[in-house]
Amino acid sequence: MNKVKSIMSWNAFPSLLLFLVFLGINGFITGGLSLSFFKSFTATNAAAVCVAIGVTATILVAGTDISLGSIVSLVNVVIVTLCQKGYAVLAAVLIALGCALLCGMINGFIIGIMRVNPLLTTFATSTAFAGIALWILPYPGGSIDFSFGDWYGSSLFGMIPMPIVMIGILLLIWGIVRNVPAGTHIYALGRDIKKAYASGINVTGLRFFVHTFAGLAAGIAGICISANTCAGSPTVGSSMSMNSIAAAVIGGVSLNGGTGGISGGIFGAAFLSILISIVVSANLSSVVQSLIQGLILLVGVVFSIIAADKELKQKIKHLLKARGGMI
Amino acid sequence: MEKIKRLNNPYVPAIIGSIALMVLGQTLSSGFLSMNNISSILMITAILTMASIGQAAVIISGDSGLDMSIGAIMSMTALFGPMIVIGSGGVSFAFMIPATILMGAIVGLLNGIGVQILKIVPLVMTLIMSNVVNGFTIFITKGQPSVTVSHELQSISQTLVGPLRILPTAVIVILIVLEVFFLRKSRYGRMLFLVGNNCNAAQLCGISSKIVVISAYAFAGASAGLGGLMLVGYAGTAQMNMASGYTMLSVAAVVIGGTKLTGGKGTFIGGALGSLVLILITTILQALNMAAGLRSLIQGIILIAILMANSREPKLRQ
Amino acid sequence: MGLVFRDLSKRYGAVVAVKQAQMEIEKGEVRAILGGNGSGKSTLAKIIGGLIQKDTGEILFNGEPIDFGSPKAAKRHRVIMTSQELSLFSNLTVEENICICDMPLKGKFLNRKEMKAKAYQALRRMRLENLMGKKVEELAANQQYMVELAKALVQEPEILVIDEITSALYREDVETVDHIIRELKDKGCIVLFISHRMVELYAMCDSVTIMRNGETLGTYPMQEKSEDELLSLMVGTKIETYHGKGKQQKDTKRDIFIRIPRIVIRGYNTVESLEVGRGEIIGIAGLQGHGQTELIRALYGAFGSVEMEIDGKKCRIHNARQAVANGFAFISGDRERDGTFQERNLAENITAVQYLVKRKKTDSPQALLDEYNVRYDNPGQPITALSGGNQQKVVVGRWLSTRPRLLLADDPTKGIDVKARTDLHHLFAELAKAGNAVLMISSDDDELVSITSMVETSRVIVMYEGKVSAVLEGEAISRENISAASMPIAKPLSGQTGAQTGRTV
Repeated sequence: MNKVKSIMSWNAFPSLLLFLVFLGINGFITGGLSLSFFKSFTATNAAAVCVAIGVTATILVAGTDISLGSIVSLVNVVIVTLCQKGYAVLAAVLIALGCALLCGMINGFIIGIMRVNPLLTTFATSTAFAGIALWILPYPGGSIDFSFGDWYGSSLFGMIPMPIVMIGILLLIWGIVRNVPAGTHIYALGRDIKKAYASGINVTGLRFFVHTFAGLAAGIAGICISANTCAGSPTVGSSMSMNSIAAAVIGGVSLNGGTGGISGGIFGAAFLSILISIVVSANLSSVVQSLIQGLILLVGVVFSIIAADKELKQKIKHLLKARGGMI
Repeated sequence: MEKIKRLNNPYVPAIIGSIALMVLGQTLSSGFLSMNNISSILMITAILTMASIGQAAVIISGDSGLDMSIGAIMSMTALFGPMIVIGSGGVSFAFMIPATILMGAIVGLLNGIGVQILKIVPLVMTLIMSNVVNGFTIFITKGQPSVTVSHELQSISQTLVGPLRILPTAVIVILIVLEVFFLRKSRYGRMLFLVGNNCNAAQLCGISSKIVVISAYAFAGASAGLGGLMLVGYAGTAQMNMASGYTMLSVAAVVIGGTKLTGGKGTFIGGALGSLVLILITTILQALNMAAGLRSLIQGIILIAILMANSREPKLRQ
Repeated sequence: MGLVFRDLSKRYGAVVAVKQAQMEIEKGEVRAILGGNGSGKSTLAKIIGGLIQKDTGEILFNGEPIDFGSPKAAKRHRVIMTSQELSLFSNLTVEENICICDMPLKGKFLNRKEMKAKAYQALRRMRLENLMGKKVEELAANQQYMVELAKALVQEPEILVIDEITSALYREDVETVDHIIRELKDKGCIVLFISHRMVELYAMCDSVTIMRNGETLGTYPMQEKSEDELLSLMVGTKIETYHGKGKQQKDTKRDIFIRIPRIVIRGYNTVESLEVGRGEIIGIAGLQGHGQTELIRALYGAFGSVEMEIDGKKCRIHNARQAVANGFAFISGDRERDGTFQERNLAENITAVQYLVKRKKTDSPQALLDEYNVRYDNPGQPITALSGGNQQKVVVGRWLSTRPRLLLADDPTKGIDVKARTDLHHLFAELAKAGNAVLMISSDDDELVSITSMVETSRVIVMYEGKVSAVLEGEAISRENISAASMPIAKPLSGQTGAQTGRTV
């Protein structure tokens, strides 16, 4: 019984549950969950999961990064443009990844070393990075050699699909982080920055690292998207900044820092992806889709925050009881 | 004289900046300081000032207050405002004003509730709201905005005297009235500063900080709503997301104008001056025929530079 | 040899925190640092610990000059501090917190097994092994302070600074601390013990340095000075019967005008009740964190609805606004968090309640500031330009000018120099004498004895674990009795006689 209780109070449990439930619903609607469905689902949504992982790392240290979507767009644009100019796909990818890392380091510098408020910094850099992307590729277009897409659709060792491998790279890095002192320090920093400093934790270094990691995550996400579409668009990542934050919040990560984990980000992103996939397959006009997506974010975030806040839950319970009594 | 001296200090950088930029503009592109150009600069500055007034109120309310939905609200009322047709053109125009204010205020109210009652970080709450508002706007206009801007609405672009047209004059009046009677002298204004300064202490004094902050967000929504109407009146047409850039500009304007991002201190007039500086920069960039992407990049860099100069958190070691 | 300071100074803007401090401590010596609030002892500790940078002066350890650029640098030199505000992370477990400054490694990776073993050892020394695996947010206040100490010990300090941890500790814990300090002494560690609890200082320390207004006034072997002498040195004037007994209670009947039948003490889930008489000053004493603050804040509506009867009329208070409307006032000792509006000027600060909330036409701010004896230049000054004591006077003035019926004060004289403190006591006494009542929490037992003797009817309520453990009246109000009721289990620390602990509610 205790084990069940502790699983249920795991931060990421609700989002895992929601993901599985909606996966089932989707299967029901589309008449079955085939292997090909999984392959295409992961291929399309691996990017969202990667960005969610990156943003979760920044939220944990109370330094929410909203520029990741712009970095994704930038990476996509760089790959496409370099390929058009004749660079080999691998070279283009590596250069783009380097750009993403650089963007992350710029964020890390301004936030960690210059100590500017993280939200505002990343808001400004988000504009800047998106601007660069728009400058390089003003209109959607261009294409990448389809061998890139083929590689993305293939599997490592014949078994693990490439998209999962991409996510796996990030998980590996984060796994290492969790098993060195820095992993614990990150949670300490997220809870209270002053106390962390007083305990001898390297606050500047950690913040710099976390944003660089987020940049890397966005870079890998950009690679996934580029390989999936084999085309370029300067705004491909624009909704990913907000969606990833919502995913993290739904996954039980607290925006105040210090609570939650990467798994929450992953399940939250998976859940949102499946939800959006259902909305899309319902064949509503794109106009309605935008509204619904916005509402899903709002409802998801609001519910997650209420669920995590004990005081609020009490107040709402009382309110409902009172209403029930009156009726 | 002493009073003026005390007021001027936070404004000096903005004023000097404006003058420097005007000189720069004139050197880079002759005709920059022509009557026509100056009057259009003032028009856009007036619109940005409306946005920055709302942003300033929210930032002053403290607790990392920010309103990232201002651009979305403006875009929304820019599209919906002209759609209000009641009776003759003049009557419609009269109705548009309170209607857009109300629309914006409702969104602002929702923001305020999310921030104060659900305790969602303002930046995230207002960003999500901006998503929802945009989605809603797309939904209502079915993605195809076709807006006829009435003659009366467009009349705000008529010249009054010299470079001043009707709109900037109206905004200057609104600005001064709000600054003096709303911010500095009214009970609400004083409570807003106290709450922004130390929400806990204000609460203990018996001030209902929840209501004060929620009202600030509603006010921001209202002023953004009105700003959207002004925008469409000036532009003569409306497009989706036409005001999305105003969000970031309003934050930058407020910061340039001397309002502290931590809350509890600031002025509307500072926001207006900051708006002037920013629009001068934007106009210069436009005159240089830069690509849209490059302009965004430069705006982002400018904001970063302002933030690094103005808003660094103190060192952890005293 | 040992630790030496010369001419150490630190100022924050216009406020001088530490002025030309001098100290010399030998290895293996346990030095008490005694000083009133605002004397600079915490600042001094933070300078040693690397949290604050000194302006001038030098620090030598074993002959070598030391100047730590950060807490990390200080720790490398084995200079460890415990913090009055606790440096623990509520979201991490006890073992993670204890080992966080130097986590045991296997290669580059965290060695969780060794971390648990290390923490277990530290906890066992304190007989608190049962805390293993728990998150700090689940622990009680005294347990958290002991974990804070364990965290310091695990870093094997050569200089250990203990900054006010004992005011939340139970008797057994204090004994444990005593043993630990003796062990450290034997190892040659230098211990700086900052506390205002005289009994512990006499029991644990070899010598004492007195600080006042940022200066170190002198160092004396502990046993050479009596308590009165130390207090006089601390305060600057001769102290007479500072810890005298409460005055003879006249046979005046209490004129009860406020009744609160049911107060839920948050955190302890206990229930208390209270009756307040006109002209009364009720002191609330006990170990820090035993429900005193929760009691007072509950009366102010901070924790949900409270029903009460005021002047015969029933009413319900569930937020601060209603409390103020009913004539209540709340003053906290944490000025920065609960009292002052930092960037605003004096006029705005002092009229905040009267003008804004009560909507009354105010007397001129100048008149108010003068009435409450604030030392200032002009009402347009930012409040931060004033000294701590004067800032608190502004806050007090803000409330007293609304003529409250009940003043709730949570350690209002914290961090204030003695002169300002006495002024505040007089103001509170005047308020009470005008037919109102004052409920005041203080961790300084002597202060409570002193203030309750200023009015005719007064009581001291001692709280322990969320319940009232004793109600003392008249002659029974004394430091010994308060102390005994604060820790009602077992024998007193150094041969004091048991006190009466009759309960009358």
